[in-house]
Amino acid sequence: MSLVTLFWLVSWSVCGVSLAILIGLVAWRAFANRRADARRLERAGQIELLKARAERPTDAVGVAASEVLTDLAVEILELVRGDEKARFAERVARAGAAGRLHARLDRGGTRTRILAAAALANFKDEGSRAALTCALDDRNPEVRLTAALSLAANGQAPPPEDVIRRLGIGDHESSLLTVMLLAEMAQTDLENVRSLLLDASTAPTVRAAAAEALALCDDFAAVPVITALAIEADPWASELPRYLAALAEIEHPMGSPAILHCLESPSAEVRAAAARAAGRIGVEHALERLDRLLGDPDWWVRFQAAHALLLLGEKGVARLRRSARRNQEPARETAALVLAEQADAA
Amino acid sequence: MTDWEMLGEAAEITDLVVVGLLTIQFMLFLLVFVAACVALLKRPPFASPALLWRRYAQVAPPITIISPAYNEGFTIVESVEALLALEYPAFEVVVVNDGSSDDTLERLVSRFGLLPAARLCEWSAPHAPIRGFYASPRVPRLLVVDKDNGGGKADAVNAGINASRTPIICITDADTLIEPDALLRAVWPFVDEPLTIAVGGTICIANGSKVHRGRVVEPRLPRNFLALVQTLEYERAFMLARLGLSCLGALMIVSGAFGLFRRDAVMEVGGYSLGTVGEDLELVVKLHRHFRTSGQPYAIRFLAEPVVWTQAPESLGDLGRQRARWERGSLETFRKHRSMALNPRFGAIGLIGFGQLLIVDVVGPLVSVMGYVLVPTCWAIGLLSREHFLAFVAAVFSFGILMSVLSLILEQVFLAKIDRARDLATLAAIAVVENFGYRQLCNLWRVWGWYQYLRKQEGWGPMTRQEFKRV
Repeated sequence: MSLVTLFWLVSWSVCGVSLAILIGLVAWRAFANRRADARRLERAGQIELLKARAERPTDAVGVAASEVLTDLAVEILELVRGDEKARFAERVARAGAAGRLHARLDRGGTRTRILAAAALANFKDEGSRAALTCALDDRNPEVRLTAALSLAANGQAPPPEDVIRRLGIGDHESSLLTVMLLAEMAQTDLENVRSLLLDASTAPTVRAAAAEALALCDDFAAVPVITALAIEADPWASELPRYLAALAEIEHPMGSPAILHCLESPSAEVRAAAARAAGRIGVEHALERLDRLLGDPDWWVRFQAAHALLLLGEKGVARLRRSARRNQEPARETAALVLAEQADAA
Repeated sequence: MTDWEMLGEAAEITDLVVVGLLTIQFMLFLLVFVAACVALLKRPPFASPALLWRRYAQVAPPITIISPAYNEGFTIVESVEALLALEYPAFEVVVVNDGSSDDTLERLVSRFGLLPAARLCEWSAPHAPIRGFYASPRVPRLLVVDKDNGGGKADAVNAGINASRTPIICITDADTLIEPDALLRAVWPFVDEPLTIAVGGTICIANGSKVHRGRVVEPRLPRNFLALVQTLEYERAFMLARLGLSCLGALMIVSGAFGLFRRDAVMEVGGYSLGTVGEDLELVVKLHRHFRTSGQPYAIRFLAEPVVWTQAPESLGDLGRQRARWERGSLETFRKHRSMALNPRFGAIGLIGFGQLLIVDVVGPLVSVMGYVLVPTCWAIGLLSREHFLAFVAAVFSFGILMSVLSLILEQVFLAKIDRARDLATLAAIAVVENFGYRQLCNLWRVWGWYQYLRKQEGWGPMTRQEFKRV
């Protein structure tokens, strides 16, 4: 058989096989749709059952949790809040929904494990805590992060250093969700999250995440540490704008020295972040420097400086008016347009 | 050797070149197919909007949606209302009226109570002069930029980018329907992998689907044959090719219908290039080039989830003009960045991305059309053996069918968004039928694009606007 003939035979054979698979998938789709219809019916029935028993909150759900009821329970738990949520979670957990989620977290595919880990944030029982803690060592980083977020949301997370090590934060895990994770952990373990800032051996990205997390918790005690870190940081370090963002979020005047220092930074990103923080905190000592930054070569720095001056009130607005009258571009245009925008908004 | 024998040898060589090129194209497809499988296995789950919100709302960066509009008076209000109703914690909508000659601006002003406004802009990306800005305290999320017509989408988008102030920008079209939670779905790569500079999303064809208030409420397959074939093409192009190339680090295009970009990255490369018809392709190639050359780590990602809906052309004229334009865009970009082609210095983008562009878009149409004409003719007059002719037939038809069928299999195994057996069966039939006439026609259109490119023809040509099927 010649090569050309073989080519003909192989290509059409593969084509035929793939078409046969596709026809099989069409049949499977028809079957799966029927199964989905049956699930929808079961789901409707379960909803009716739940509605009927909603009047008796102390009852168990009344049936053993099937996969359908488990999915339905998770959906409902995403929608309700407060005591109602806690009561419902307890009831469906007793019916076995949490157990089914543990099984999914243990044996499901990656996507199933992620969804199960997220759903277990609704259950505070010991079994769920154990399953989520175990998932901190999952082979998939997304599952690990989701499990950590769920544990933290329930105030059940292990100590921060342990979580950071198991998730590889600062090493191979760079998601911004780590800020949310540390912020949640700080709600119950503030001291240990704060100690991440103080520990010189902590990776810079972890420190930055901890600073942002503490800022979200309005932790004023962290301000001196973040200020010192910002002053000591390399001007081109990627974490420096994050320290400044944290100081801007906390809005505490103790952060002023770092902001005044960073307004002179050679990095435009840092100058812009410092200008924004100066406006948010209301650092009046920064008036002169912000005024100078209106003529900065970087547009984003000019924009942040102008807005900071607006936030500084009368004195800042006076500076903007003065710059708007001067014949020095780009400071004049920046000041004039920001004042005009302010007037439009008013 | 007689002249006839020499002609016979030439015919055999032609046949081998055509079959060889189609085989290389298919091998590239298989590589991308495997990569797409890996990407689909690794992608995060389809989370519910509530879960997405809980997970990302507090860390999601603000986004500016830039929507250029040219003579969109008929639909602009509905489009902008749909954009303003998107589910995302912090976003602004910048509509760029690109010198419309109809009442696009007047309708916006009247509906949203807009007034002339001042705006401090960064004048980094080039565009035609701006006539004015319009805003309203009643709708603080909306800004309208009114500018002279710049002759292309790139010009209008650049004006929008200059007026934006958020770290992320979303480029879209005024006639594109965006899923309500599209931004939350599309932003995760920026959150989970902060090196991300661009994210593209899957575009679906809305012909035949029912639309209400700028939302697709009942997805259906189109009834028009051309739109139906394009549905399958979009499956191949978006779900498979772009996803696979993204996984390989060789994604060359983020569609102009929906793409998220880090604003500072786009500004670093000077925004969209003017005077090109393939501005979306060219921008992504520019980003690759810039970040590779400067040694900055970066990532460009693609989402398998459908995030936007668009109307596909339903007439041969419109489709032909679109395909010729796409071909011109590919050729322009290839020529402009030819030093990247097959250059190992640019890694996967130089070898795989540009390799694919060269084989599929630059050389592909010419060789294919040459094959369609020469191989059957040579076989008919006895210059070519039956085996060689059959090899050509196998390469043209079986590879074509295989590519479409594999795309559908992948879709069903991993996504199953085609949820009706009848629709799947229809697309399976189309996967076979499209290879007998449609694909050949597409290649002819692309050769026409080559001709236009050589003639230095510019502009988009007239296009008929398809209306959405409203309920």
